[in-house]
Amino acid sequence: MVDPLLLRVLIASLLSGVLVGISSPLLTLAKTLLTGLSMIHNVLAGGVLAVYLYYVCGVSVPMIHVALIYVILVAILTAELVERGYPPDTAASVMIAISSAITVVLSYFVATKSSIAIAQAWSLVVGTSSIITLSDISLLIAASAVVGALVLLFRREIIYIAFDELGARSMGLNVRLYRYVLYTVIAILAITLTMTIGIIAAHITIAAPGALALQLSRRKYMHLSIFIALAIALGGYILAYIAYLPPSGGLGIFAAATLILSELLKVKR
Amino acid sequence: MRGNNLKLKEVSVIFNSKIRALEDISLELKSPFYAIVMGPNGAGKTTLLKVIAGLLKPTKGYIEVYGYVPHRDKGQISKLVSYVPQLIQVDESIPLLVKDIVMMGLLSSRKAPRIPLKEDYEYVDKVLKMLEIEQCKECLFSELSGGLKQRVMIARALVRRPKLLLLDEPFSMLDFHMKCELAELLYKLYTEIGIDILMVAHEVSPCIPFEPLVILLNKRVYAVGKAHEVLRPEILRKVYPGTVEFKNLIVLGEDHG
Repeated sequence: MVDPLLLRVLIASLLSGVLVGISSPLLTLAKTLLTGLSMIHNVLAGGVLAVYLYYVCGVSVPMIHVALIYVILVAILTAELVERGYPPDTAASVMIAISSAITVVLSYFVATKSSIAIAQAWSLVVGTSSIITLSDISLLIAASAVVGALVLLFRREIIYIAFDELGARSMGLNVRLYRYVLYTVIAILAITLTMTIGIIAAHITIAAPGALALQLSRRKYMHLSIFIALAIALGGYILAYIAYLPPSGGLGIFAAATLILSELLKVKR
Repeated sequence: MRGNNLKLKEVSVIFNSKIRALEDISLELKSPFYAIVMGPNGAGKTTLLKVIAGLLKPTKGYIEVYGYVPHRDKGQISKLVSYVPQLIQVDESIPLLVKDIVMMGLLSSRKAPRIPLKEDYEYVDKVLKMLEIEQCKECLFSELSGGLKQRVMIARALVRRPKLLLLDEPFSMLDFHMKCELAELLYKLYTEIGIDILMVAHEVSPCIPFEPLVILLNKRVYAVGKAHEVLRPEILRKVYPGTVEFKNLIVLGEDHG
């Protein structure tokens, strides 16, 4: 009989592997990896906003809903800044600065009302698969479905815009809209991974699969990215389970091993 | 099409309220035309193409392309005009196959989801064959030579069945033989399919056998006419001050002239 906890961990790692595997190459090609990683930091501001609404304003909305809306809003604002000529990393930095300010200011007001409220907000970003719940799995399934559909529908256009933005504009493609779609995918990815596998594990898993897959193959990178993401997720969690490590430690070791292996494969070729 | 001409009347483009890219350009090209815009760096050549393609709104003046105002009638203009950017503006690190690049040219005029049909594949094959790059169909864009890359970009523009092809420095990074081949190909598109050609080039010589219309630009239009009328030392000196004349040779006062 498989330990139900381990089973949930495996399902979560499978789902997060698929989620990351399909979206990571897109982030790499569109040069938005840094935006993806920075988006993770906006989740906390969303959580603090939710507890502020509840404790200070008396508005009761589930924390995940507030955080999701907030992060998507931040993502779209970041996309709009890029559209207006800001380099992507500058746009992401500006939005992180705003989110950090929101976190600090709202935390101050919330702390005057409740001693546990801030801890509730933090719980949003320190999710870990070792205590994964059924609602986390539902969230992963829903996010995978939404991200999968968006990537499948708009992958061609997003990659094409990364290839030749000016040409894409001249052909009448709505570059702004596709940028919004891409940044929304990033937002959903960030919040889902942060809430389910935790902020550190999310940092480790979000970038590696796409970047490594593109290093190994210029043609089959999508399949390879899913494979690498699954390998890192499953291998990392199993290693953590066997060696009594925190999951993010297992993931980190496995991601580093995958990187070394891919470099060896490249040298061999 | 509502008209047959490309008309610019006193068009100016000023960036950030102070940098003048184009100043009071007035120009009329009657279709069919095979024209080259030449001028030194910073002359506003690319800006002119962008204004015609509707990618940039002029700060002042009036522009009409086949009866449409480009920055206003973007939908119509994107059907009539195909823009081929400079190769340096393309990110070659993106792993795209030649057939996918050309297909996107065709699909971009449709609504999402842009799923190619059987006849789309056939049409893309036909255009690739016409440009003699059908053997590169399955190649990655980054694997091709400069000349082939330029042909792929032209193929992407052609699948849209445009009336006007705007090319931004199509001869850059090509050797002279390839430049001549490309100039001939563009001339073939002009004579056989009836596509109007307007290209930006630093070097006119590959096109000379095809008697292009030459537009000499340096923020303003200094001359418009056949090559033998425009490429005269006394005219060129207005735009290229360092122009020196030798017997049967004119050296322009610019590195790339």
